[in-house]
Amino acid sequence: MIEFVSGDTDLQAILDQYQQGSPEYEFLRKMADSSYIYRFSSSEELDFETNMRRHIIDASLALFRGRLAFRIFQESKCNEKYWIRRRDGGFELRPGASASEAVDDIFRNTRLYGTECATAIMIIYYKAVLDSYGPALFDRTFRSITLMNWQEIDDLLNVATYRSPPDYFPGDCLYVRNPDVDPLTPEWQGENIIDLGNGKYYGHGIGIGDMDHFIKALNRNRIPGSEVSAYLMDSVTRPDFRALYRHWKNAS
Amino acid sequence: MNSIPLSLLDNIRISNGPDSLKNYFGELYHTNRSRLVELLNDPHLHFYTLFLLKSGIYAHGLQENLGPIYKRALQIADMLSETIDDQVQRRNAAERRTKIRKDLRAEAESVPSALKWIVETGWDTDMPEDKYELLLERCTAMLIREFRDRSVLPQIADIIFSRNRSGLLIHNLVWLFFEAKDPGSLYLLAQRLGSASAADVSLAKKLLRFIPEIRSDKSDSSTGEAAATDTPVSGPALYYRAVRWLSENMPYLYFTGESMQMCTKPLFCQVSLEAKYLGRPVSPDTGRIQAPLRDSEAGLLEDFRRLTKAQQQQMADFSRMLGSRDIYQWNSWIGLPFSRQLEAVSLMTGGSE
Repeated sequence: MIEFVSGDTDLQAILDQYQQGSPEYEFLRKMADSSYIYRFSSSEELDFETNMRRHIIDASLALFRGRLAFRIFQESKCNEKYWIRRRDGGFELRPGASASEAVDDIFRNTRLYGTECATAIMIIYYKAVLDSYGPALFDRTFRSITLMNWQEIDDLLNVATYRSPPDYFPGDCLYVRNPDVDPLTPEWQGENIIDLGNGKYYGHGIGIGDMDHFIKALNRNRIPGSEVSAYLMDSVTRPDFRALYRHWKNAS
Repeated sequence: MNSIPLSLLDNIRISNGPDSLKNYFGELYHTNRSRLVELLNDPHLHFYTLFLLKSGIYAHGLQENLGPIYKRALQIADMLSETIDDQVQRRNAAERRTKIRKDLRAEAESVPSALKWIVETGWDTDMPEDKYELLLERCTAMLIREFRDRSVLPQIADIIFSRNRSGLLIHNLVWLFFEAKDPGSLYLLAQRLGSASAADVSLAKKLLRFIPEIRSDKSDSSTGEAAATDTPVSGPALYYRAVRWLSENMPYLYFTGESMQMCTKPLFCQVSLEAKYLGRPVSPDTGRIQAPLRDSEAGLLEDFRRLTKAQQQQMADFSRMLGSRDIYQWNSWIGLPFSRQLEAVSLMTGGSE
């Protein structure tokens, strides 16, 4: 169920803005139909989250189409014009470089970059914030950026994992775990995937497909003879849409 | 990285660099071959030094003069290096990995001890961050996951914290440490809470976030959100709190499979409240109670599952507290109907949830 603190109630009008079958519609419909109460300060805040989730999905599709290379940390690569590759395989925004240009460059010169699946999710999140904020606010907000899987994330994004969530929505990040992974391919110990809506997901290094596609891909990298399948964990990871909205609102 | 004494060849590598080491090897081969063989078999030799000399050893056919562990270590390095190249090339990689594993399994007498020597002496903060590091990761993974060696976990903990202090990659090592699924090894992490190094303390807190004493958790019970902040307690006090919590909850702890690759603040372990309530140990691997439940216990669990998470926590904590104080009283309490148990808890804890 969706509730607005401001008293807005015309949810149908919000739903009518989106085509049935679109990720935005699926997100709003699921939220409205849930037994859990989702509270928003206003319809504007809900719009912000809806649009940002769309940007997350668009950025995922762009990385897929751009054929971002899958590279483990030891072999990660980046465009040194904008990023500094650290000893641990993470990337740091080069001092003096524009954060918006640097993030855009990953999508423009994708062939110059290579990373593993969790860092790809962070790239997607930053791109989604860039598309939500615009370059000027993005550059003012992010003076430094580190891309190193789930570590050292900017406080504003406040990426959090919710265990046993009441619902999953398009734009969410899920995790498929491979408990019997081959010790010679630890990079396939699990896959972070973005829910694209309509039962489809994007996972860097595996591609786009339904859940079965990802489970089968991970199962191919199990200890030979294992009968323990990869599985979707009962958790979801999301950026702090509310904090990002408030920052955008205050800056507007 | 480790406290194992250094051999002469290691000293040359560390003091003068890999090129000087190789030059010394070349000179000694021509001037005093028996001394060279002696140095290569030094019991204090580190794997990284042997690895750097590998091509020279092969070129001069010296591998046959090596002791069995060192000789096997080089063979393992060759085999596992092949899987790293496969990773890039992706040609028949799965089949080749299967064959390599089968070959290593066939030598189950000598391979684990050679792997252990590689892991104990091979991780070095000065080592290159390239395929050698990947090789060490593969060796560690084989030792822990394939050969189920837990004895190496103290060294792995040392390596993790040492590499973290140097800003080096630790994620796969952390994953492997928890994949060993050895609850006793958690004390190795707790020790670092009292470290003089801020980096050690920070990492130990991150790895032990599942201990409520380490974090103050503003959980939303409906969503399970864990927006945690670090507790201000630090140093020995935090260490003692963590150790006490681990001791109290050890039989009921299991490994969740969460990792640094999965999320920002993984909870690597969890307490089975059901097991703690019944006073029955769980499998650290699955979290399931190890022995079959009696009918009376199964009935109690049905009622227990209807409680809120906070109530379950209270019942489990009470049960553990009573059991540790007075086992006869605990036996009487756990034998009561569930509603009477709740009344007793309410009475003895002041009636609040």
